[in-house]
Amino acid sequence: MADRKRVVGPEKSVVPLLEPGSLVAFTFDPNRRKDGRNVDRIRPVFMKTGVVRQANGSAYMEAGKLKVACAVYGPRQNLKSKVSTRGTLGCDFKFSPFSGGRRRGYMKDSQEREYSLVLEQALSPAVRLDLMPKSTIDVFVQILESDGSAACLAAAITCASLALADAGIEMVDAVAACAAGYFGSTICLDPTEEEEGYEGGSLVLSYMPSLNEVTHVIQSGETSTATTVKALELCVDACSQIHTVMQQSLAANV
Amino acid sequence: MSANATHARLDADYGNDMDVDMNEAENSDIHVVTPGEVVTRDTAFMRGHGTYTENDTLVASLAGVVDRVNKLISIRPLRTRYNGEIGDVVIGRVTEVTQRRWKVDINSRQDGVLLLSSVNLPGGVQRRKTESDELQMRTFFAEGDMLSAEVQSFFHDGASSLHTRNIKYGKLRNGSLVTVPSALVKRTKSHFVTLPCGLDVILGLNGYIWVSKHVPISPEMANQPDALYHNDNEPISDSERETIARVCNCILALAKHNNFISDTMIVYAYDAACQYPVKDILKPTISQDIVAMARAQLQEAQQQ
Repeated sequence: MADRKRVVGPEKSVVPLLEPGSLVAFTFDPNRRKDGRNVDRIRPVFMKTGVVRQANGSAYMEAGKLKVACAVYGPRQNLKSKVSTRGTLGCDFKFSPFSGGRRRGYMKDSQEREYSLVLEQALSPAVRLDLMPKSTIDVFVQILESDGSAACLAAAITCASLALADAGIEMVDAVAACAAGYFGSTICLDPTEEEEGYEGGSLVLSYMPSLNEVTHVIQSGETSTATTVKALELCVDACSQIHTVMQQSLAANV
Repeated sequence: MSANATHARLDADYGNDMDVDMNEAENSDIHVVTPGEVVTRDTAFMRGHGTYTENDTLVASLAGVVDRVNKLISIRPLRTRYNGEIGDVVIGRVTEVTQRRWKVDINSRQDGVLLLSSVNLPGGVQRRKTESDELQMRTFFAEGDMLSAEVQSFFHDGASSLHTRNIKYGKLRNGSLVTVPSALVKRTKSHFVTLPCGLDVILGLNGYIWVSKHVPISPEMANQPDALYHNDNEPISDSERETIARVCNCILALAKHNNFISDTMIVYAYDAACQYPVKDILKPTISQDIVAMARAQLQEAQQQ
């Protein structure tokens, strides 16, 4: 017996009628990026500290269309009274509902939860948590406008580290982060959302330039060892540039 | 010793010209560093707060101004949590009542601890604390109560132990709390001041400032039950409320312009602010005027 509630499709299917030439595949040439950047260039960045008054430290960062705000509260008493000799770092990463083309919910989705975790892993090697027993530091990152998810994560890490420095929290070094996208054998730094649609893989590197140490690497997609090594080198250079901007904005506000 | 010297330097900085930004432009010897930046490669220096050593170089771990006292190098950040020192007068808010102790939020990395054995209870200083006192701890300080106290010592984990074993410390009433960066409050001989306008101000070194109506305290009060720990405000007239609001706003205006906060500075700012309505004091242009006038007055007083 036929299920009356089920919408059954037609028995016979046909190929849609299309005008010749209307199915041109969009291609992306990494050497001709829309904003005129070279493959090894990041978007120009702007940073500012002390933007949230009630927070202990805060920062705002802009890279092209991408806009990130971060607030740091603490170190403050750990609410769970567990005995610990080290402090804890809690990170919260959130896309604003209006941040991208598609509206995002108020609840944290799996991507945001993953990025919160990455943020914590990338920052905690730099923060001197051994000096703050029984305390917590809470980091809240809000993406106001997104433009490329890997670039958002990188900007969030950079912005959070700037806010931590602004809060007067001891760190061995400021963490700068940079994203790269793989387009075949070509590597593009700081891919935008549009470019991200064509990439075969991506890499986000968190790096402490003064100490020359990497705190976190996250890579996805298909790649070869040679490409990854090259991407890491490019990211390290870009992180050093970002670090210079961070130093300037901190020095301007101290 | 180093702490005193550091503080002397802080005073000198603010004394010249209270604005940190202006200071930077005028005094070229001010060295601003960011985390990870090398402060010096000279091994003769000792590492102080906010620095660490990496391969014989002294590296900053904070964003702030380099402070050098003889051979000790430390970094002083503009905004940070309060780092207590023994003998500091602090203002705090009770966050938790637990076994024989209160947890007090003092704007520090961890809550301060006020032990039942370090408070004065009605009935005299020598009074023993019994189990019945333990059971009625909430009648002395409950969650949310404001109190002034002194840092007595530190626990091994860095939490500070407070005490209120003096008639001047204890529960706070009849006033309003102002929060400023803790670096702006100067260490002075007395942190309990009575202003000429008839208000009491307690300048907590943790950046919490209590502005209240002046209520004289007599030593006899210590023996009266309920006199120290009651929760009722005295009657406060409208004009007194306005004065409290004015002083609070003056302190906020001083803090907004990174000005140090002391009893004289508050008096000068209050005098300058008298010509404006209370609600206008925090407007950018007016607060700038008030702070500038207060600074001018301070300089004049220093020259005399």
